[in-house]
Amino acid sequence: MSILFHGTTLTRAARIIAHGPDPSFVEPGEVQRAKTQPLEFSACLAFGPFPLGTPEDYAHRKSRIAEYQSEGGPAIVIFDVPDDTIALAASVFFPLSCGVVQFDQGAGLDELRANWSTIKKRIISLGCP
Amino acid sequence: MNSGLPFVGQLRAAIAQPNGGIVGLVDQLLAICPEQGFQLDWLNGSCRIQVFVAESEEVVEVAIPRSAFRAVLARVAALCNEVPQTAVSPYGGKCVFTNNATAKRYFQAEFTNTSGEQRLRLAPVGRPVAAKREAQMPIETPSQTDTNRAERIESTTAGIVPSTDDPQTKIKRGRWWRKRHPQNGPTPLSTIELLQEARTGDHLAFEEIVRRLSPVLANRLARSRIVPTAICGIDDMVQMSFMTLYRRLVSVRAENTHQLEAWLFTVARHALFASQRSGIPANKLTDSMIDLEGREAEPIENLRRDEFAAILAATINELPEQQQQVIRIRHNERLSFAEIGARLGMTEVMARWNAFQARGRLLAALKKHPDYNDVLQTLGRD
Repeated sequence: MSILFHGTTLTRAARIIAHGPDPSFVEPGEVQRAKTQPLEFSACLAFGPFPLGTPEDYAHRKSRIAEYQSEGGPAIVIFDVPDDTIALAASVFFPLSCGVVQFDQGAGLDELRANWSTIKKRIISLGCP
Repeated sequence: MNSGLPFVGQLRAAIAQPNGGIVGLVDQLLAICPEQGFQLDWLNGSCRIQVFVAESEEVVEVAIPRSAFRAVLARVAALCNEVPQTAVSPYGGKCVFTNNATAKRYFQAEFTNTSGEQRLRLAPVGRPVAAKREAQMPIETPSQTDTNRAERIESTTAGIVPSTDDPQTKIKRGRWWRKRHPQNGPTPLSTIELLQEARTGDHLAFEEIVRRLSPVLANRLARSRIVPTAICGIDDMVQMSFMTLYRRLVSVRAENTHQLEAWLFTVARHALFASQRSGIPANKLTDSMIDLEGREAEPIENLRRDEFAAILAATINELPEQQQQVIRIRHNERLSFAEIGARLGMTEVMARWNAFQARGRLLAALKKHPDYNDVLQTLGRD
């Protein structure tokens, strides 16, 4: 098992905890997620490295976007994923040495969603109390 | 500089066999970036490369997964955010940045990274003005006129203890850092390394120790059970501690910052007791009045007042090293998780996670005791 972090907003973190990676996730500038867009879910290894920025930094930057400002502030989803699922996500673009774990369809995402209910997970809010 | 067409071939090769994942791919992208720049768009499973060669436009398509292309854009955003005073959103922005892998070439990036659109426009640019100024900043040589060292340190300590945000202090710190690391930029030494420097007579190193530890010590004294008096306030105790440290620089035994902080705390406490006993103000006390023999205490010893605290201390000692450090710093200094993370070289979330794990184990150990509820009331949530 390896601990992974995903930086996002509190509202989205709560939704991810409850239902797993969100297929209806709407990014800034979109009204509704296009059905043709494949679901992707990225996370990072707890001990890094963090080539795309630390999860805290990512969560803070996400929460500052105008469309996300009412979503409860920055938060981190921490979840403990079986190593074999993580191994499915590794590829030439995302070797584990990079610190980024990219779950795509056909690359660990389906397995992650299938096991989501049994995975240990927790939210850490980074907002001011 | 590269012309457009070899660039396309090199980019194809880089994408086909990325060396080092997306980090290596972005490094290669920057290294081979042609002078006239290029634009990348992701469309229907392929990366569309536009290179502008001699007023004409070259368009080539290279297959790359969408998530990898988006990660490349996210990496560019992260590089932009490493530039001081630059903040771009993960979903798009414009900035000038550099990367160590490209021998300090500077690039202007404009990118969009949303679900519907993924685009990157990248071109080399000249060095920004701010970076040139930083490189041209002269390195100050240290002053060699230390005639009365003890007197200077006493006056420095007195000036720094009440206010650590003094702009003069910040200027001194910046020069001191540059003096120590002229080629690598401002990387500070650890407190123990500073202590070793101070032992060789470097008064700037001692000044830096005072600047770092005085707020920690004042904070710890303020929330301890020690009650300051009219003739020995917290500032007096802090100042007395650092003056004693200066006089005993050679003999102080401290292998890490925690031990040094504990030593300073003990001195401060003894200064207060000595002042109370003798009725002499703290700043008039001498070393002989402050009995320090064999009193270097571990920070956690303050907890060992009763049976519950003994259980707690024993359990803390059994925790993994990182959890021990986090819980000790959190308890002793009340630092935020971000500050703890910065000190221990981990992220804020890892600090929180370690504290969470440690608390879980401590509570599990305490729950075995019949007076568990009393323990909780005694210790509070932290």
